Amino acid sequence: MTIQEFEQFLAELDDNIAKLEQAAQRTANTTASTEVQKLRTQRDGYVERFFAKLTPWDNVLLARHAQRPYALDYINALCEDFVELHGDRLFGDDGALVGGFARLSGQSVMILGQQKGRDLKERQRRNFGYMKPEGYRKALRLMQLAGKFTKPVISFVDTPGADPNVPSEERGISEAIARNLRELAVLPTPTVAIVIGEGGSGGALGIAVADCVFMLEHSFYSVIAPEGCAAIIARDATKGSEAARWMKVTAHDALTLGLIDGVIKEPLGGAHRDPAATAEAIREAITAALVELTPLTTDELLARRAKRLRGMGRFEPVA
Amino acid sequence: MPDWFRRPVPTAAPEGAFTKCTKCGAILYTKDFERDFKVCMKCGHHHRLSADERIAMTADEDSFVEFGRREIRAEDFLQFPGYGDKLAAAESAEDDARTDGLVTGVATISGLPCVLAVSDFEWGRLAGTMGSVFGEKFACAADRALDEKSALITFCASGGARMQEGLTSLMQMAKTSLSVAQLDKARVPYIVVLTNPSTGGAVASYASLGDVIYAEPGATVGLSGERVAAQAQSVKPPANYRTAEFMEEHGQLDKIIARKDLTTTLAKTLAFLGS
Repeated sequence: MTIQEFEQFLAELDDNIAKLEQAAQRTANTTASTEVQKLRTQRDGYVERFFAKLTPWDNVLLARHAQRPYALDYINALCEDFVELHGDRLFGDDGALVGGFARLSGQSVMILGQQKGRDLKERQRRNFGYMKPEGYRKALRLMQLAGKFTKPVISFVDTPGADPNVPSEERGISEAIARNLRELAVLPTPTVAIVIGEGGSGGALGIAVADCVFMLEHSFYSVIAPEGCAAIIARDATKGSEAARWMKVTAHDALTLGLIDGVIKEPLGGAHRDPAATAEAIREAITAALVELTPLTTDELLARRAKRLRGMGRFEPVA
Repeated sequence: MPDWFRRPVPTAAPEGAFTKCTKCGAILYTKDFERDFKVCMKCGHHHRLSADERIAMTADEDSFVEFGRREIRAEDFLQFPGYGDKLAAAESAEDDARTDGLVTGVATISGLPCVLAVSDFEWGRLAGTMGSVFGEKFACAADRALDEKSALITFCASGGARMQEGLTSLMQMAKTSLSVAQLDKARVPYIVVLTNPSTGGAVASYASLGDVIYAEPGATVGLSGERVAAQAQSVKPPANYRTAEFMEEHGQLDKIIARKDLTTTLAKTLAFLGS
């Protein structure tokens, strides 16, 4: 069973349980209530069993799930006094990246997030989460603003990739990403990045170079979209499921490879089944990271980050 | 019919005496072609150079001293289909065969010292991609430049990150960019030359960060791969899309420089930046 089929089955099940529950409440029928409870346990069992055998491709589809919470959902759930700041001061304002300052568990932070849209209109405005050069430049401007006043930066990563269209190339999409990588390597303030959905290649990395990087359990992070990899290696873009397996794109893979610091557990069935609980899990991870990072002096912090980035890579000595 | 009127039987040209331009099809004397640094004298097409050829035409004679030639080797740690075989075939049988497509070393150009990091596109049929070994060798070259306070010059020829190493290869973009940040902070000059092709993760990291960025005429330069670029367009791309010329037109690089002038330009640049 694919994840789509399972989700459909689950939706029907949820629907039936809800109907039964309503009926039970209306008639104050206790046997019906216990029946509802039994059905719930049974459903959770199904979900548990399905998720125990989740394939990397199921995971990719979950990360792209239309109901999956987006950056703004988490920002709204986690932050008080969020003030969105706009524009790169050079060309425009990119809807695919939201950013601004906020208070998170009492602490002032700069918060950034790649944002997809929910409906067609918003999707168009946000370019489906594909950031343009002005987005990366806005992100850098805000991060450097945070650096200037030593406020931590929290980034929510969720993008299929950087915008590949002609106008973006004209305005230097490569340069914009590259500059971010260089500047984030030496940004004088603690940085935390959380991959919440799709970690699409350089487009994701452009805001994700950080002191602590977490991934939600069912997000994925990949050097190239699985479909793109399949198109190159197998000359067949439909073999994305195999490519997802080859490239080891899941959160647990990234942790095993030593490329991220932690996996944030999602509620049973995925983040979209309980966004509030997911947000709280994210809050815990961020708080823990900031407890570790905030006491460090800027020099210590930058040395730690440099060591971390420099250590990335696996190779063997030549005998 | 007099003998001199007869068409003489053509004697076969010696093997390799002629080279056909892959762009315009012109037949060129190999000697002239090599003298022109593999640039077609008819159409000006810049043919691909190996790293060794590149170094030979760039560095002062006998000044190049390679380092890191055989220190580390790529690992197929994801067991990615076909990668292990590719790696095994990539290294030639010689005792001193290189273990990666990035060639690093110290050299002088017109007497000015520099560190060179030159990508070999053909090495191992891996399209100059950036894997872990690339990242580490690039970082070592930058460290050397920092230690010696001499400029780092890199020649980019890359299809981007090496997907056979998964997410680890993406992180090489961050790793190389960190090295550039360190050069930046220490005010050590960093010069990039974009050659054909400079695409994907390479241009989205170290190759777009030069204090000065040059490119060879006609080189493919752009973030997205050809197929992606073709599929994704909402507007019709201009004829010179994804070329050095397009990038120069849009202010994304400093200057396109013909191969014959490249070495003197690099020397001038080094002199200006005070290497």
